[in-house]
Amino acid sequence: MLGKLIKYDLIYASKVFLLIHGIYLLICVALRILIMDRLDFDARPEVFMTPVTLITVLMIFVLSAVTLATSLLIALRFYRNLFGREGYLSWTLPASPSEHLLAKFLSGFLLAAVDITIIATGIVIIVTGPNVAEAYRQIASEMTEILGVSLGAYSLKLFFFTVLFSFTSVIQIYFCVALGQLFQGHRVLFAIAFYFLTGFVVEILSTLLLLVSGLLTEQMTFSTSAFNLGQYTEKLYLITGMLSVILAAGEYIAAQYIMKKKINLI
Amino acid sequence: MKTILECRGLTKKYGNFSALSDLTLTLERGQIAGLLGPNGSGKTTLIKLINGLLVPSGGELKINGCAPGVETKKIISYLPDQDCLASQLRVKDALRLYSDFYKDFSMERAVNMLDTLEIDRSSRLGALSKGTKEKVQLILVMSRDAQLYVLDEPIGGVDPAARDYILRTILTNYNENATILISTHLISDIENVLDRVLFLKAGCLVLNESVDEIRTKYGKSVDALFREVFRC
Repeated sequence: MLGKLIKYDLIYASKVFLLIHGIYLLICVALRILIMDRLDFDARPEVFMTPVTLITVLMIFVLSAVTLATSLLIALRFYRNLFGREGYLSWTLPASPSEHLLAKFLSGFLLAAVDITIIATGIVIIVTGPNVAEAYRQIASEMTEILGVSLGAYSLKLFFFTVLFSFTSVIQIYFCVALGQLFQGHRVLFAIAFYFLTGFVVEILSTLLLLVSGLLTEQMTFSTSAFNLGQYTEKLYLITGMLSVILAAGEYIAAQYIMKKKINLI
Repeated sequence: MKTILECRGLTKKYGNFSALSDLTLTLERGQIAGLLGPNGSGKTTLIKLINGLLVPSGGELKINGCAPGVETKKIISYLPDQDCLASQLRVKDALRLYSDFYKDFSMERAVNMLDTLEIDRSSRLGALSKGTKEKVQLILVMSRDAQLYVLDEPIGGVDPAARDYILRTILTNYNENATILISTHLISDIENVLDRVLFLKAGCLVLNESVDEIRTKYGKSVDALFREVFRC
């Protein structure tokens, strides 16, 4: 039953997901051909900086849009399929609330992980031109010194951690949507409000944790030669990641309780 | 006869409003029961409780001896009062979905009914008219060999000719050990197929009798009795 639920969830989400990420990859290829491959790293700074600024701004916008679209897709699939009119079919399928939640969690995690992988692929497409590689070669040793490892190894580690902990944001979305269902009206509005509220709480707790662990003060010494960005990032990810995992476990249990005991399709 | 549905003191409240109050009833197998009442009388609330779409505020509800859950969902075929299939699905995708999830779904029966009604299996559900979508949903529901069919307003949104087809579909596609619970306020259209009627008024059961009993006891049709009981 779990496999079937996941299969149909992915079928429903796949079309929009593939469209969003297909467009994203096309934009990355276009940026590489039209801007990155034409960059002259020996040009005067004012000439060089214009396309670099343009591509940076564009990429920030595109990455934010893709990430937001994927999160919205995951949230909407969960809401529509279980609490919208599709819920009249979903809840009458011979599956338990736990199976529904687990299926949504696994399909959501898969979408989030593929989203991050495609985003990373797009970035790789943009920055792996021969001119960029040649320019990087000149500063590679300095970067390796700052990061503690090569840029490739650092990026891989960053990618691995981001994929690993992406499930926490999926659970946070489900928890907030489920929490919104406890109200008689304005359920979507309450879900959005809870999302921002839980996000705020996570930020506060993360900051407190970083303060207690000394990582926040360590950040101040960034300019000193003893600072190792690679190790720092690893510690940062582990500490905030662990906090997210603990919170996600609580959110998952709460969402499961709501779906088991408080389901009210009105 | 073995009981298929049993409610004891079943209550559902929305805040201070009681949609169902202390409802007690039993429904035996092998009959078509009409769940009748005006708007807001609690018909859909009872149906949602039977299907596990609402959590009761009090009382007990059992289907084939079990509380609503995975086991009861295997034996109930439910037609909601609204469109519950994703509009991007094609008719054939909906057939596959039912076939995947319900072991008692007969693909052959569904395909035959769709062909009789000349509904193209390649059509997207979102592109179909409201009436055709309702027919597709009813076909899916009636193509299961369920023990309890729960149909919420199955004839509400279709023309009289389609109503006849739907009623024929219901009658010809259920076996004599199964039970059908139909909610509607189009009583005159459905009266002839009913074995039993349940009248709900303001969340309370005010009548639970067979159609024959009503005719002999009150000397009236179900429609006439309904108009009398629920006179505004």
